[in-house]
Amino acid sequence: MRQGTVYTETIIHSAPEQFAAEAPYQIAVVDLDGARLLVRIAGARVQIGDLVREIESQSGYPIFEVVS
Amino acid sequence: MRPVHVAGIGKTAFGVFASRTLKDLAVEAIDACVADAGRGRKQIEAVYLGNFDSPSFTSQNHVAPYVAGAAGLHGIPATRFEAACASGASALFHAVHAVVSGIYRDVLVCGVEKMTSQTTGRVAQILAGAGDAEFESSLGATFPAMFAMIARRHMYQYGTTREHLAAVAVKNHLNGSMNPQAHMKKVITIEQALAGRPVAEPLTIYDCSLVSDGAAALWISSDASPIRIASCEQASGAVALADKQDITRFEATRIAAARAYARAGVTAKDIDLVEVHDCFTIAELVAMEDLGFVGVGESGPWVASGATGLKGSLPVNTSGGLKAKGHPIGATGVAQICDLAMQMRGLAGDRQVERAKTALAQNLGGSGATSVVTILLKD
Repeated sequence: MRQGTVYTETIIHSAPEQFAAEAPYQIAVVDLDGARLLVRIAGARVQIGDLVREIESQSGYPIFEVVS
Repeated sequence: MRPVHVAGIGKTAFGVFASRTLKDLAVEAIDACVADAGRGRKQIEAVYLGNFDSPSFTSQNHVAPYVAGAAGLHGIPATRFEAACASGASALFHAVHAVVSGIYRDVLVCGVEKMTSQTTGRVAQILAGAGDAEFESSLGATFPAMFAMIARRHMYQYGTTREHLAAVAVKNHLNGSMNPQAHMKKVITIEQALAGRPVAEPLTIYDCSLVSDGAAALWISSDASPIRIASCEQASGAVALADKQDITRFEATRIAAARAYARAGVTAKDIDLVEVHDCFTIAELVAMEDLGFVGVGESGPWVASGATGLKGSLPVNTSGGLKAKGHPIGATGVAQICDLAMQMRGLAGDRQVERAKTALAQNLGGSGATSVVTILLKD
């Protein structure tokens, strides 16, 4: 699974209709090896510079968590 | 190349108008514009309409002839332009081409959006459609979230603070309180702005522009009149935030600005007043840097010092901006020109600035995928 560094992030409180039940949730732009990807963050909140890794996802979009 | 002048301006008030339709808002703005021009509407040769997403907001497509016909502009070409939040200025950009080239002498540019008949969640969903459907909106990203991530990075790289962002909101609310056509006429304090309900951290409700109904119209002409459109330039950038190299700047704005300054024969130092696209407070800070008014990373302290207030060295968003005047998306880019023209004519009332000979407008689409920069000169 992919691993990278948080380039920027936000916690969304006001969500679009179909994601409203999940709010608040965190998304982040992650610098991977030579690429940049917008992902969902699971578990603990992350900050710029944190090391994160991809976890398995059935949702159709990438989900990452902090590497502790 | 023929010169292009602002022959007439017209605007509705911006706000939540439950009983108003898309059509009657547009007609009000066009009628006001035609009356202001003092000429018969039969002289108008084409209609260029800025509108982001009437199909989603009001189930109405084919909006340009729909609006033109209702305004008594029959038979002439009427076309809709869509460039997310820069739809209005994009319509102007293309209309300017038609006049500069000599194809038309008199063109009407209209911008309109009717947004408030939808719920907040549905509005967020429609707006997210201006991002990347495959990589952004699919995981629950919103437009406030995009600009929140830009703010986070700007804070990290340059030490910009929440107080700097709040200073933009406080200034624009103060300006809006003096604009009879503004959506929100409420003065706020820094403390209120900082304590607002979070939307996408670090942005609160006070960092976000308003969801509004409204319309604006411009009559542009190669015939001489006091305000000339010296340049109007559009440029593009990546749609997805993750495809940008440095998200603390908008390349599209920088490209459009460089071209607009060169074509108008002026520099950032010559500009007397500005209307910029403050869809979020951070966007106004980034615009100050992209347009060359301050160096990279310096916008926060500069704006917080009062430099962009009504009595500052460069008044910015004297209309109240998208933050307080309101942001009926398709109307915004057209309304910015109307607001600058009001100042240049000396008709801005309590908000009137002293020097208003050279003015600049910047209208941004999405998280920077389209940017339009227009420079007006008073001859």
